[in-house]
Amino acid sequence: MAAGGRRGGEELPVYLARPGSAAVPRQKRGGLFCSVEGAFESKTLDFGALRVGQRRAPPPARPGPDPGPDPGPESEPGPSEPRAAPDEERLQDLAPADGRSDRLLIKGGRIVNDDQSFYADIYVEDGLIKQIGDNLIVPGGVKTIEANGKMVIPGGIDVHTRLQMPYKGMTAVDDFFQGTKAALAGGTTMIMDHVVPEPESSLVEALERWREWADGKACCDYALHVDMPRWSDRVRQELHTLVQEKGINSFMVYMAYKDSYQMSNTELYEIFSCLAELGAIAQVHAENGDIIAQEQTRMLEMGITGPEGHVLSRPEELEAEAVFRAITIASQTNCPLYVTKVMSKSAADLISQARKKGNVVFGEPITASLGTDGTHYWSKNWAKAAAFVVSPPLSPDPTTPDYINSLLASGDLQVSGSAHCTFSTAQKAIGKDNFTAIPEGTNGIEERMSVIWDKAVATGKMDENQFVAVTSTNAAKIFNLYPRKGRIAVGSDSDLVIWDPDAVKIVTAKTHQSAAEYNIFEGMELRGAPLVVICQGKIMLEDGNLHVTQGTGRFLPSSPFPDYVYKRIKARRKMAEMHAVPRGMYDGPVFDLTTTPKGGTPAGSTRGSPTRQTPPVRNLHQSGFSLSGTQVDEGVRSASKRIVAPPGGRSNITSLS
Amino acid sequence: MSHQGKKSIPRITSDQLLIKGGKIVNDDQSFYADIYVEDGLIKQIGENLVVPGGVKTIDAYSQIVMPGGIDVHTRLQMPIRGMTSADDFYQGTKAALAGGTTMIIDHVCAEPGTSLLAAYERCRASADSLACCDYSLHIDIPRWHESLKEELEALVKDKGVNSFLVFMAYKDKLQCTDAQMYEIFCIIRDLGAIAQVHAENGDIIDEEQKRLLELGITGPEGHVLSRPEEVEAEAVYRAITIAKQANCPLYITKIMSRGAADVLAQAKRKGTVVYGEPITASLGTNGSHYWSKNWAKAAAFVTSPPISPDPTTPDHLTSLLSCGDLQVAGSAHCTFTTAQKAVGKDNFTLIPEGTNGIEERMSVIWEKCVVSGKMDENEFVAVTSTNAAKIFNCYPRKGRIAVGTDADLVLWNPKATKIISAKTHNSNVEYNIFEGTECHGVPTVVISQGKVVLEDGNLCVTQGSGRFIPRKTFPDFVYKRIKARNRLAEVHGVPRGLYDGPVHDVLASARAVAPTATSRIAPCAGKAQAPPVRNLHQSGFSLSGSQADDHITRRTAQKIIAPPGGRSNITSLS
Repeated sequence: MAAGGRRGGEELPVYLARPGSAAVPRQKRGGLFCSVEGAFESKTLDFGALRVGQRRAPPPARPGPDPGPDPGPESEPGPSEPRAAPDEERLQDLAPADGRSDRLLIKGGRIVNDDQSFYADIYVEDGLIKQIGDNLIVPGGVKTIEANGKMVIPGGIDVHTRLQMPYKGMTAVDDFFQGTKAALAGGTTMIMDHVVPEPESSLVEALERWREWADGKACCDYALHVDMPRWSDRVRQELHTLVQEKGINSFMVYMAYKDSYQMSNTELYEIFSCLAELGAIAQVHAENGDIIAQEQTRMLEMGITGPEGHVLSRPEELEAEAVFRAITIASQTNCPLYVTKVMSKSAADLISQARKKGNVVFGEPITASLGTDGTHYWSKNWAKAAAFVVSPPLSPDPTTPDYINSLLASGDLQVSGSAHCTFSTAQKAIGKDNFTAIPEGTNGIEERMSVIWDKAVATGKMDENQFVAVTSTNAAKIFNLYPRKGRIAVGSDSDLVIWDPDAVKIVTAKTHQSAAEYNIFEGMELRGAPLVVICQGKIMLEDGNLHVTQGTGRFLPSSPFPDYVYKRIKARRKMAEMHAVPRGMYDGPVFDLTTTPKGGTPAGSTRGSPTRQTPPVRNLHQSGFSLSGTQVDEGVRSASKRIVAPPGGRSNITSLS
Repeated sequence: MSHQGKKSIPRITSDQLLIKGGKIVNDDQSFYADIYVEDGLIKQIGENLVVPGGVKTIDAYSQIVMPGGIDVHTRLQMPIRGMTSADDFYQGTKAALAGGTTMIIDHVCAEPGTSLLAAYERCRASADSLACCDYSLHIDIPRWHESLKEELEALVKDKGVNSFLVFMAYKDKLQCTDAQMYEIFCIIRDLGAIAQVHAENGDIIDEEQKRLLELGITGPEGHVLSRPEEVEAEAVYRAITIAKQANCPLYITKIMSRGAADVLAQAKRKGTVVYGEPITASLGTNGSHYWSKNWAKAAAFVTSPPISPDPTTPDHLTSLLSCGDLQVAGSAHCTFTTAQKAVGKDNFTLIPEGTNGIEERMSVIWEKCVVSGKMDENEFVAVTSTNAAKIFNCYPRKGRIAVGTDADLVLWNPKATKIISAKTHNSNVEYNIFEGTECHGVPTVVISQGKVVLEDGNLCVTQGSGRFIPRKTFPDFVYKRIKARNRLAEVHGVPRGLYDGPVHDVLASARAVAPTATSRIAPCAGKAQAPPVRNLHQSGFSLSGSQADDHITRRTAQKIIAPPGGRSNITSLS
């Protein structure tokens, strides 16, 4: 087309070749959040169109071609124009003249949401998306990013990280700065970290401590899950505070780690009931801790002390069993369940089965389970084997990653985390003679998006929209941050990633952002990488350079009762009321229990005289009752009352199967 | 049908019997032949047998002759809370014989904290004096403690017991934890016995019971509402997981719901050694009666796990029984009179649990499975008798018609019909949960220990004639696979050089607990540690990159025993 010619030697895709005025009608009105009203009218000059191909020109030089008939009110804006937020002022001081303007125009990208993709420009101001559409009216001097037809996707949300996690007096090597930096480098613009309180300490205090750490260091927005180490009435009260005042809507319980974190079934039942009332989401670490403890003892007795003992003592069945149990208890209490770290085929299968039966359950595979397998536990290099130690362990079955990717693509699993919790080799080495002491955790915060793209999108299992759903949108919906996060729409946070599906990157510990010496994806060649990462409206990654600022991350409170999760729960709660059957009083004889009351011990004497007691009872009965035969007496006692529970129904009303 | 046993003994003085003209049905084939029985054993099978004169002859033309049924699960004379279940060993075995069952395996339920051996002896004493048919015993393990280990050994080695039941339900009374189950399963496997489980999640049930009582639901419908099907399926899954870990054969008693049966069928497909036992109640009726307005009727159905309220359950279970996913059928016969059940008239949790079914078992299965075309007569013999004998190691003495086996025989008339009713049944209770069910196929003659006990509708049983059948350990049917897997399942460590890199200092707040606020708020310190550690490393190690050192064998003499990609659990066939 004409534009193509204008740009001479530039090799631009056809879809970019659009002049400002006679625009080729592009797909744009498909969705709710598509464009700004009137954004397509009264355009005289499209700056973006003029500038196509000059993307790499230094931003300060921009004002040159600008002074056209710009209808915008602010005809002389600049990066230095004072803005409201003090944060941002400081930011600009720190990184002057580096395109860190509050305003951004992303031109010529294909916007990919979880429901559709379309071509449009995005105008960002104050960290929010202000306009979407063609030929936007924007102030002059705005920094423009040319997307060149690349995808613009909502920034990734990593639902499971454990940055700076304390463990036995150590701290995970990636703190909130290092960790979020790595996240941004990989295209993730929000993390959800786990608060891990000490068993007897206060949850609220622990939360405050984590907030303090994160506020001072995080470079991207974050939210928090709170892990529950113990269950007591005091914890119950704290849950109320956390949900209602502190912006926490998800809590994690452990079914493993016997004698420290593990919860009994009874406790799980109580916790799930309590969470369901509060409108929060119950997360579980699903592994049968009792059996693991036994197996660990057995392994150590057999002299197996290396990392292979970790996976041998935690076979896949134990994970599946716990998933099954958690689903059962959650279904009983009508509580939404979220299974963290789905590592094996059988656990994933159970989740998808339960979903088919209608249970409200979500499963979170992690980067490690999607990208690699557990054969490395048998590596002769202890440090390498130890780097893979995580619970539940990576499955030694090499077909697992492929299978889990398929379930993620089909929607049976919904979100993906990284469970990023890294320890240095020296830290791991405290378990060099005993695998049970190896601190658990793998990396993955940086690799998550690329691994999923490479394993699922590049292989044709899922499309780009589904990719956005599992890396970002679903997480935002489940944890009630939607549509602020997880969607490109007017009014949403401008956490954006320009994704290059053709880029190829080789993962290696030499170049990764994490502080760990080892990368479990070492040497993997991943297709798909972020080209530009924009977080809170600021460019964090461009041209391979990271520009992050410690402490810019904000805590995002998440409110209870997320619609995505609780609509069904609420409806079922209404249905699930149970009623007693109104019966006449039972007026027959009652066996006399006077001699040996409750659960007492009928010693040999009662056993030896079995026939004595029954005959008189029977005779009594035959006179007073008409029990046998056709049962004609049914339903006559209180005819006025209706039968509330019909025969054949009501085993559990929430079960749809 | 009164106690005419004693006076009728003289009538069959002869120990010799000739059964002529019947079709002999075993679990593998059917054929026409005569059977000659002497001294309680089958002496000859064939045509034109040479037999002594004056032998009593039974005409079996147009009838099926099959091995007498084995009821793998009864609880006769069971003590509970100071009561005893209404059918004692005499009444119960009489009912069994009337229904074509010639052997029962009863459960010995000891009080928690008491000796299993003593309970066993008590049970033996009363059964020896009362039972009219052969019997054997399972032992229930009420609450685990170390000292029971010796008792289990004694029972297995000296007392002829090879199966033990553990409870996953009945919280604070009988329930075992997962760790205890693992321990018990390991012991049972070493002894060569079979682990049985009552599979229900007791913790959840306990919570649900409290909730329902708070809601004011006190009737029998509360029983089924507090024990939903998922709770059974969950426990089955858990039991299978633990048994597989321990490499112990598992036998699940009382499969009552679709969910549980499906979980079991899946596990079998993966190669787990697991057996499932549906009972007469779950095969023959459903739990809609829990909502009956008649309290006594509703209470009669109370058993655990409850009978599923889903009316399609019996059909599903009979299908699985027919295709071999479930292997044996019991009755879980444990009856209480209405007055006994009424102990729980204001609180469903107190209703003593148990239904009838010992007498109806064979007819119900014939009606639901064979008449409907789901299984043939050979499979019928397999599920009602042969499989049980194989699993519990009394095959081929029981469960097969062959020369030398016990003369426990049933002449079955597939054309006759019978309507089940409490008016005519042999149990001591006023209520029959199968009331009004019409069954095609009834036993016309029942022979136990070579004696005719049922003929022409007359029962002639002898109190105390039943013998205890001791069972040996390591039944082939069950343990052949287990033994092979035991050999395979050894795991080996990876021989590695010693790790000689730096080790993080775990000082001060060492183990697990209480790195309190002070150590906590030092994340920067934690971060400060990392860089030096890393540098140290980079000099001493080559960790990152292509891991070129992986193949440098440090100790070349040792082979790599566990190859990558294998060995998550070697017993897994899937």
